[in-house]
Amino acid sequence: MSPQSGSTASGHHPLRRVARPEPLAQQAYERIRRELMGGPEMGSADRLVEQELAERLAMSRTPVREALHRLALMGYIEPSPAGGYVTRRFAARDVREHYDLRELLEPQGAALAARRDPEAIERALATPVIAQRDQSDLGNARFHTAVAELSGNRALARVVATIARRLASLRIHAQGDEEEQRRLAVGHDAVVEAIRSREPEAAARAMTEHLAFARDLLLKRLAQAGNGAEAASGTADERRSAS
Amino acid sequence: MPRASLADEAYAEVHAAIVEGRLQAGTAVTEGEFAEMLGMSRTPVRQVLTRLELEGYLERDSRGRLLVHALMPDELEEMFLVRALLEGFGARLAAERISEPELERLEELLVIDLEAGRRNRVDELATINAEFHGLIMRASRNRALVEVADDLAQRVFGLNAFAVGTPTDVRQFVDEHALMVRLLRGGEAKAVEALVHKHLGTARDLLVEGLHASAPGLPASPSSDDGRAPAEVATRLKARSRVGGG
Repeated sequence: MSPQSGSTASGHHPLRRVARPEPLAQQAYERIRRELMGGPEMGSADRLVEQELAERLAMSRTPVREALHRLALMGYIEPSPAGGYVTRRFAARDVREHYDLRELLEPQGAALAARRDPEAIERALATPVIAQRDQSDLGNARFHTAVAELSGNRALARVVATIARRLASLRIHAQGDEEEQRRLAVGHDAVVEAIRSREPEAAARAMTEHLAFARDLLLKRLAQAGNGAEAASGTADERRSAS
Repeated sequence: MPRASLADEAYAEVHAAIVEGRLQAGTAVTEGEFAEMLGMSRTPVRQVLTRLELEGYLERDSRGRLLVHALMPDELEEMFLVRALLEGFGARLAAERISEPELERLEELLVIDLEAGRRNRVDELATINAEFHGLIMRASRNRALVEVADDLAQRVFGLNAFAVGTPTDVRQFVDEHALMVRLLRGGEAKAVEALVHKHLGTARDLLVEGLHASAPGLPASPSSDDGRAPAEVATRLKARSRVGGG
């Protein structure tokens, strides 16, 4: 079909081979991701056992293995030194590092989004990711990614998406009480309204405030969960890693 | 897991080939060919290609073929905006956290930098530059920041601002590196952040200028979705500004 390219080894195939996950692997990917977002525990490093997942999802290990590999690439889970994968574990220092980055990039992204032309803004704000005000953790990660994409800066959107996916396993929304969830939702609404009325400074400020609230909330929870010892020793820890 | 490590090795090799310009922008990529070149089965190669596509090093054309991604001026400008934010912030943190041995290594690099600048060795300058900026970023002690800034820096490593710039530009880069070290030593966080912004702004302007000069037909700022480079444009660009292979 395309004689000028890639014909040395695969030219004898009548169909072009497309390197994408098989549909089963895609199914496994989506289902494991939803389970990761829906679980009750925070800050625990749960092992993801291929065999158990395969049994639970009623499929063979091959698509499960491919799904796990892809989830790790996307940053939802990470390889374990002992082999296999574990859910991403966050200490206070990780939260601070990632939120420093978010507070650097996302307000800029929101400001750039507010400067786009009105049609682009309306179109983006009307997409389900934003319009449905999905307050699940997956919905939250998608919201932040969508705002970053609306900035029109693809490099910024890629970095924000990577960070948002990693942090999704902290389950900031699922873990929140009613008041916390309400304030997180209000934060999103404030960002959306500022972008809709095309006010870059207000959009940046709304994003900054929202992220500051989320950061404090996560650090408070980590401290309560007993992982907070590191919060106090963070600075010393950071110096020690100099080499 | 031997299988995972084979895929990791294959990933490192293909990634390096793209970053170093051995695989040029616009090159068609197929699983079969790559498996043959790397001397392995298709399964790990498929994983590698999926990963590189996710990371944006590879892209699909309108017919679904996988190609090495060609960087366009508008995307380059987007990357440099983010780099300036990240590296400026990193330098600001580094001004407060950098250790004495790190400062001494930066000073060593300055000497090598001056010498390479004097001899106009653009390939050496690019390598020293990468170590210099990487070291400052690591001194920020923010691991997440180091990781994303490294990734962005690698994506533009093959585009060598030193090769595009005049000797005056090269001298300015080297002078700014020297000033950066002084500001870091003095703990002047705000000033070093501003300097990094200016420094990367100069690099960006040179590279964008270089892209336009090597491809006069490029639109000033193509719309984000269909601003794909014809392969020959990208190839000419690479021929002009890639780090030389020797």
